[in-house]
Amino acid sequence: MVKTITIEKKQTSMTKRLIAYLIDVIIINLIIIMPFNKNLESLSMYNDDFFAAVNFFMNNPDKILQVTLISITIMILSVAYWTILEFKLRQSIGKMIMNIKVVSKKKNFTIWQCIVRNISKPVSLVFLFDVLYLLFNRKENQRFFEKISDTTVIEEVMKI
Amino acid sequence: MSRIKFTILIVLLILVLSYLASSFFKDFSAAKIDSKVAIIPLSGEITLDSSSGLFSTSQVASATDFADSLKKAQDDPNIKGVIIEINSPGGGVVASEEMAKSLKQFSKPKVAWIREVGASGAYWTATSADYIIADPLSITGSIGVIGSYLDFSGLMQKYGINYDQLIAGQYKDTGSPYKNLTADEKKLLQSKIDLMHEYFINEVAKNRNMSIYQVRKLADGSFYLGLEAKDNGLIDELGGKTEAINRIKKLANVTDVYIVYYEKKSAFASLFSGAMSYNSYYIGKGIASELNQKANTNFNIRT
Repeated sequence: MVKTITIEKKQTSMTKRLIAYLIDVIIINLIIIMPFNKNLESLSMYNDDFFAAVNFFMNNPDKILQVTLISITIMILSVAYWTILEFKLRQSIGKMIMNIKVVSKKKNFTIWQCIVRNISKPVSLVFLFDVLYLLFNRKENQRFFEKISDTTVIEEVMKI
Repeated sequence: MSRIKFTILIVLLILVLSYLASSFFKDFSAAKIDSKVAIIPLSGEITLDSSSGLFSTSQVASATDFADSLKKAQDDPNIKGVIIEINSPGGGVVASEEMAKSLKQFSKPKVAWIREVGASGAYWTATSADYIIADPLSITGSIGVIGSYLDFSGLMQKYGINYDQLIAGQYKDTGSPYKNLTADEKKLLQSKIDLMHEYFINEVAKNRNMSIYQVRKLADGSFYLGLEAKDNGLIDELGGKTEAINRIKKLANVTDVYIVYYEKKSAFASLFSGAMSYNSYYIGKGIASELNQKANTNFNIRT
């Protein structure tokens, strides 16, 4: 008896997307942020005291540039992680584990689309807006930056 | 290349890049993080506790908060010394003494930096530091004690209001605003104030390594400008923040320090009190406080 296998592409659930994102965040913490721990040690004592941190920077203005440069480096490496894996494999490690993938709504899938769809992730406030857009537009299943980049995340289900 | 191999390669590449980047920033890192100096403010009237409720707008120097800041600095191994930034006219006697004692017990190097005003109880606290720096025009000194109260007896008499208090103990209602102060009561209160003054003089003499005779000559309650205080030995140096930082570095034997500022978090309402005139608020508060004082406890003593 011949069996036919079809691959059905369907909209990914929010839960799967969230779990995939969290897995990627953990990996990014391990491979990108942890190496900078020593550099950021001086700020760790201000974890509970925002005002003390502000005062620290006001009294040591030379540290502002240094922290800014470190933050930018971390942001670039984070975006690079998602961009390279999603461009080449259509999946970051989190997406591989959750069996979801990025697809382009256009004919081609370019690196610029990957960069644009991931550029909001290192910046919390921007990413929050991005995610809220997704929550209020479930039908489209796209974050704001996914809409701009004409990409989306789907799930492939095999049916026999 | 298989997907897994590619993924591992990318992860390793990013990891290597991260370490390389972090080593590039190594010179900027916490290389000298173990040398910090805390600036602890002493601003406003000295009291025992601050009114730090949600809608508090008062600006006071709380002896409790001051001691807490000093403890925080003492316990932090990275703090090599403290600078007490003083801008206070003084305040409560016990509060001033508690502040001076807390600072004396602080074992790391300490410099007192007097700005506009560091007088009376605030000056007392400053003397507990290893070194005092003030601006040439700072107001300092005022080594004296003041006791005051409002006497409403005349006003009450005018409106036919009588005051009868039953007491056990001849001097129990001394200082009550509803009656005149008798000669005996005045003598009693004056003796207490003189005792406090003598205590204040002794403390200043001890802390500043001066003779009691020298300090008593200066302790007539008058204030001194920084210039005068330098000449009469009440302070050590004329200067400002830069001089204070240089001095603490010398005392702590460090060449470079990070400055951290121990500031009390503002209460919610004080964020909106900017438009309110500081002086008019305290005039109003002071009068209201006096009128609301309990009958037998409103004799107010201040350094």
